[in-house]
Amino acid sequence: MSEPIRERIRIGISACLAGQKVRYDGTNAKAEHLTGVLADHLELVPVCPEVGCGMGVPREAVRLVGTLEDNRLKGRQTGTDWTDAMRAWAESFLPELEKVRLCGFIFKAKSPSSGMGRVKVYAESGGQPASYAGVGLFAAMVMARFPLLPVEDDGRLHDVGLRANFIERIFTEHRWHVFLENGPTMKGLIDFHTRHKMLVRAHDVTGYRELGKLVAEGKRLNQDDLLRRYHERLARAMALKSTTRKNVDVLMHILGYFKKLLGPDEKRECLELIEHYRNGFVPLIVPVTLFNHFIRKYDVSYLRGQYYLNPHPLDLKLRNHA
Amino acid sequence: MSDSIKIGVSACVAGEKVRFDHTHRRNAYLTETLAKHVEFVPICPEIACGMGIPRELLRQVDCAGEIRLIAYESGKDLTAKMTKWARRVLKGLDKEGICGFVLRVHSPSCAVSKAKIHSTDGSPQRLGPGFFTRLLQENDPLLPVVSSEALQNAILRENFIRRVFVLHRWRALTARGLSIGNLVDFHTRHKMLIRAHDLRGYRELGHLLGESTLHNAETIFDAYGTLLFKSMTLKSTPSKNRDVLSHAAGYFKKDLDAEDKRELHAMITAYAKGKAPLLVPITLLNHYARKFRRPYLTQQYYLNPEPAELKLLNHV
Repeated sequence: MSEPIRERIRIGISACLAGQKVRYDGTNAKAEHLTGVLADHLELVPVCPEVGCGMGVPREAVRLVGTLEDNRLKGRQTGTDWTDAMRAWAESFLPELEKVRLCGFIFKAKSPSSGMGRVKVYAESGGQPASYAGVGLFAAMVMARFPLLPVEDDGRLHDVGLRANFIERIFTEHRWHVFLENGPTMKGLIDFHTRHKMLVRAHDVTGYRELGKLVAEGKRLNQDDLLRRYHERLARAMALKSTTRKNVDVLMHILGYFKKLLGPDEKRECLELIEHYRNGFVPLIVPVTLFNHFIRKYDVSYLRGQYYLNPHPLDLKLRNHA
Repeated sequence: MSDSIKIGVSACVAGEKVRFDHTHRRNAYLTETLAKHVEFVPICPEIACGMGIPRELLRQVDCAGEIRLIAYESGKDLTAKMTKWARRVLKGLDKEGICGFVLRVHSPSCAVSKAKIHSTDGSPQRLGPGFFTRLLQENDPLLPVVSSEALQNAILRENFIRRVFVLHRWRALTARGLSIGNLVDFHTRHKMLIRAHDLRGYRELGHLLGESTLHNAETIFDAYGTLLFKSMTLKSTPSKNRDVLSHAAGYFKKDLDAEDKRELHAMITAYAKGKAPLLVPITLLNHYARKFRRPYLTQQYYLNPEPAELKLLNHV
């Protein structure tokens, strides 16, 4: 049985990014943008597959050797083959990780064990890398075992858009875990779906419609099957990036709920702010702030429940850039 | 004066390969974001006063109180040449009406404040403005200057953009003649903005306007301009902004119910604590200013910057 889900959201992170001195040369690669404000809201679970499989610190640096499709993890100078050792360790470690119920994973970019893409693969004959599109050995195993888990690396997370997307996915994944934990019911699923509607729509309109259909047909399906399909479609939808256009679409949709509540000038003001957002004059937080005010003022309960309007702690500053 | 805003830039940070070693120091924010909203006037003082590329490095030397510009190895003295050229080009810049200058950090000619000034007696070097920058600031003390490096910092960048737009409006005002009535309008629309940078300066400017009569317009304009840009050079901070926001909230004392007030003050507090951006309380204040028709507030540049200004303030 897995442990109960805590309030804190757990995500895996390559141990060197979390500040542990576990790299081959005994240093860390502490990433302030991941361990600062973000870590206040998350519980980081540090993992170093190289130390885990017994390579020690300091150690010989390793690299992927072979071809893009078929490569092995080998010592840079000695050529010592660590592939089987790491696979064996990961086979026993991943079930442990499953029990922790992670909501995401942040990998170390370009690492031969933990890079999630863009890892150098060297040919047996040496020389320049044969490919720059490899996947770290451990990262590949994590992604194969947890295909729906939101994953990113420290490099990509410098990008404001990718960072916002990743954090929205982590929080959604966490809410899904809580939902399952509390004993899922059909009513519960409908409620979950209702509160995520706008958020999903801002990422993937098709996914939003398909999820709606799935919930509508839900009673005819076996419950486990339904939940599995819902989760899979949800994760796929959330993996798409939300864009200005999709957000404008959602904002206009929200405005529709105020048709009878707002005066003509208030509507005009909303439209102006949405237009400003569309043109990149103001960040998303501006129209969202005004909508939240109207929701409180006019007590629109359906909208108040929307995670889109209050998706994550404000101090993560995800919506502050135009 | 044309409508587009012109700012001077050191040619190397605009991406031109004009440095001594034929490289550039292109600043991405400058060429990708700022360039969309303002017109650049690129200048390289070292090229302009006759040095080629590649060329010898220059350094500033303090010769008995007078700072001279001297070539590193040959010891050639370029002081007179640069001064003569600068006087001519500064006249041209005045005519162009530039509203700001982005300068290359550490450069002996262009640095804002971090150029080395060597001594002749072996005492340690000190830091000061570059040779051209000094002449630039003597020529127009109001001109906002910033190093391209400082533009990477959100607070310094915002401060520079604000000053550029205030100067642009100031130029438009003075071009229309020295009318105290227009100056009072100008002051009224800038009140909250000035206050967010310098509370004391804001009060002094108010007193200054109180002293105006029909006959001293020129003196008042001079003193106002100097004091205004001195105030705007100070950084606006969360606590100064909170003060301005709370002051603005006071205009709705009688219009808002207890819940509305609580919401507004919660937003101001969230901003002051760094949990929400300034735009959050400002959005709500703008909404109320519009709803309850407060022209004094809707006209504030602090709450409603010009479109290009708004875009630059919110864009990274």
